[in-house]
Amino acid sequence: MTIFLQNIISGLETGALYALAALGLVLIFRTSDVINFAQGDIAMFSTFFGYRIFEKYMSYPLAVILALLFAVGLGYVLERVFLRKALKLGIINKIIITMGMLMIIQGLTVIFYGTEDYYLRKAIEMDNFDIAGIIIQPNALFIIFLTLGIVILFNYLLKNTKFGISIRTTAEDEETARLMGIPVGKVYSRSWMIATALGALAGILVAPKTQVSISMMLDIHLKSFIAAVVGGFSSFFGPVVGGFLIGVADNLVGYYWSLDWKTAIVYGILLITLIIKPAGIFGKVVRKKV
Amino acid sequence: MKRIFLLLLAFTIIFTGCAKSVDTNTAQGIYEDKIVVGTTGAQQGPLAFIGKPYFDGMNAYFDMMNENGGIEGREIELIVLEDEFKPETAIANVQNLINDEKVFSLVGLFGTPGVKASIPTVQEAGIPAVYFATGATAPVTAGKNFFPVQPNYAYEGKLMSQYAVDYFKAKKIAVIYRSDDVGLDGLKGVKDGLEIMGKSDYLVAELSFDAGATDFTAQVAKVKESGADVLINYALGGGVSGVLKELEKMGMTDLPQITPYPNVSDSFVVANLEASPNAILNLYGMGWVDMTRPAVEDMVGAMAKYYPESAVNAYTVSGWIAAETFYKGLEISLENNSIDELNWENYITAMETLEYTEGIIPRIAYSPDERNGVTNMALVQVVGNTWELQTDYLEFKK
Repeated sequence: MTIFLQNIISGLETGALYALAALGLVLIFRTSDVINFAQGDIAMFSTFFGYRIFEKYMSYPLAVILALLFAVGLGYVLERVFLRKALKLGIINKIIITMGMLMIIQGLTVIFYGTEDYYLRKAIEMDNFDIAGIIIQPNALFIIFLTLGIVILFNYLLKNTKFGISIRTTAEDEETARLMGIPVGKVYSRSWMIATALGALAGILVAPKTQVSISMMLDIHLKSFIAAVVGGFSSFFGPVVGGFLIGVADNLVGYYWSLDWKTAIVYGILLITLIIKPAGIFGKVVRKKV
Repeated sequence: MKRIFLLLLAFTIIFTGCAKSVDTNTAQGIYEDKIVVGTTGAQQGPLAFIGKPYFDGMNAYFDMMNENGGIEGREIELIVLEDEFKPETAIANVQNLINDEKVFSLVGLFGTPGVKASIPTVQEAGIPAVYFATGATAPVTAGKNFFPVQPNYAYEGKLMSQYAVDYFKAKKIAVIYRSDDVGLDGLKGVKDGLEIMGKSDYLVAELSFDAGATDFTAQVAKVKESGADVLINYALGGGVSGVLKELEKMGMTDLPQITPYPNVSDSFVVANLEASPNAILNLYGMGWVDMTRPAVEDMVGAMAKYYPESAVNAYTVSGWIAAETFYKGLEISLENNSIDELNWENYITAMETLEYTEGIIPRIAYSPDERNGVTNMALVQVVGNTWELQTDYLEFKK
């Protein structure tokens, strides 16, 4: 039982990071029809920025806030420079644009931050709790509850503010949103700004588990895609559940079933889920009348 | 008009050819003022942290030798092509280097996928290929024109099992390995080593993880359950860091761990010291370069002079050794041949007599039947923020 709970808690911590990154992906996809392959690298670049200013100039909380603001600015610039003019292009063209962004960011990372790995401290640096043999890191609890808090706040804002309604309307139908006087361009920009900030937060929080390095977001980025697909790209809540599911399933299957077959088994289960629910667990299939 | 044009064309071809070629017996890539060699690898993207210092290390060695007058007055020019760690691009680059750039030799091909994919091309061409930045075993048996230097992972795995049994007196050995070429070769080596020693039953856990994994809870829980005396942590970089952090979290800081040689660098220790301050003190690595040797000063000096912005780490050392091994081969080739007679055949013949002990690695030697590269490795341990030698440089007992 102790090991079971240990695997669950660690899985929830990792799953929370998938969830944060997935939320950003879905937000961009819903509003501007872009699958952002550069999301992980934007997060990595922002984390490097946060690490550098923390290491050289300021306290951790201030560095995190500035790194998130940096990510917000980066999201704005990337959307305006690379994607705004490509709005009318097909989804494949947009995917290729984000892949180009990915390569540019990777190149810039080497130029600005070098090629070494670095350790970035945890958000909460307290001694671990030992509850009946289960080791719980305060930082893990912080990550889980922070993610849940962000998801609840995000969903509240979506439903109860003009900004949220403008995002949902744009996500449903861009043309109708325009006709209703919603500044769609601003919605795109803001979606990118929020999404890149969420990605950066995931990067900053995962850095103590991995390292600050050019490849730090590879796994998180891949799993966040899968979380979004499993939870449903059409839902803002589903990808979060998808993230937690993958985090926990990875650990439980690895420990109780097989580490060698873990990836195949977990994704096999997810594929079966998609066969049963093609739009994802929380996704809705839109059927249009003819 | 047509005749004049053809005449001009013929003259152009003749003179272009004559200007470049020194002697018809000389191999390609040998010019009046330089010798051109080439390589391919990833200098950008996620593997830039390896590729950039590695190629800077190679260039630093050639820059230093060129500044000292070059080889019989001819400078070494290194052409580095980018392959983004993609095997298909590596093959195209190797073909380009051999057929279009006309390099004399391939030096330091970088990365397991590219090296493995390029082997048939290099075999077919017969061009000398010195040093492969991979622990894959394929170059060892690829042919006479192949001169691997780095220890291969399968051999290193065998040696790790020997150290686990002889040095740590382990009776239960667990292996956490990354499920790719690196980890699987290492695991095979450990199994082979234990089998040769008649101790296969010592292996109590084989635990895989995927490249890029961030959560090692299940693996470390299984190590704990197995009651292992020693953990062989067969992965590169981030995977080993992740396991260290999980061991630290779970309080398993007394468990000795052995990690492969690419992780044996001070920058790896510095990056992990704060996160795993206790677990890392029981981290041992396989050392194949001796950083106390005088040749290290040359490398550090050259890097400071030519590439002051570049990291100096294990990858820089590898690049330096690649360039140095090729250069030493040139030197011994020229003991019996003039530079105008230098060609692939007599370079390969000379390399088969190489016995070099003055560099950063204690010894590199080849014979007509011997292509294993470095086989002597020592156990080093993290002490403070660096690695300290714990044993002599030993070979696996056959």
